[in-house]
Amino acid sequence: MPGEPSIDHPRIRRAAIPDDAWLVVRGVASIEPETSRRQAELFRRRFEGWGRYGLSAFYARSDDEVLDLGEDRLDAFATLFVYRLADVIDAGFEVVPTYRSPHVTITFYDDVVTGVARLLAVSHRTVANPAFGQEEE
Amino acid sequence: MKIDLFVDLNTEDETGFPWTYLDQAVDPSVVVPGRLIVVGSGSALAIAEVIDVAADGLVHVRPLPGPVTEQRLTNASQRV
Repeated sequence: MPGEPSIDHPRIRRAAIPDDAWLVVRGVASIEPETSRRQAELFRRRFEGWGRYGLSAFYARSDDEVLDLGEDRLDAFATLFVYRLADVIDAGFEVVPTYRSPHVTITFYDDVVTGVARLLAVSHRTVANPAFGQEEE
Repeated sequence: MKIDLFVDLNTEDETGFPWTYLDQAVDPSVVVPGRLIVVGSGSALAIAEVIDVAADGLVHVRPLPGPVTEQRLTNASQRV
């Protein structure tokens, strides 16, 4: 917001990501390499003092929560990419609970192109988003 | 339709809105609070209202649900 003082990192929630939140969801266009690279660089620019790249995602605990995210937060995306949280962490990323639940930031430190390529290589499944393209009632 | 402003529509911050920077606009002069523009990246587009533009260039937008068409942009603009 205008006049907001600059800060070195996004707000990190006190509460950790719940133990039963095993899914991480991103809209398909956001995982396109050029979009991911560009956004990761914008994140680093915004939070330069934190020293890492970041990409937004949301955690979910069930397939129903994935569909709710598709309707509430990700309705611009025809397809959702669903990762297992453990797979993302095993691939060397930190998943940080940032801003308002269930938002998370997937962070990495290495070269932006390398980091994005590593994320794109993480095993995932795709879910068609029934809410895509629907106008508000 | 062409994108006026690059926004990863997956993002949100403390405001609850997607964010980007003014220098990600094709023409920064169209990024004015209250104005409806086309935002997005790749295959994910949305008509969105510009919420604010900070002194450091940080921009928040409020995407409108639904498809992106010239007709919808015109109609939505007339309602603002």
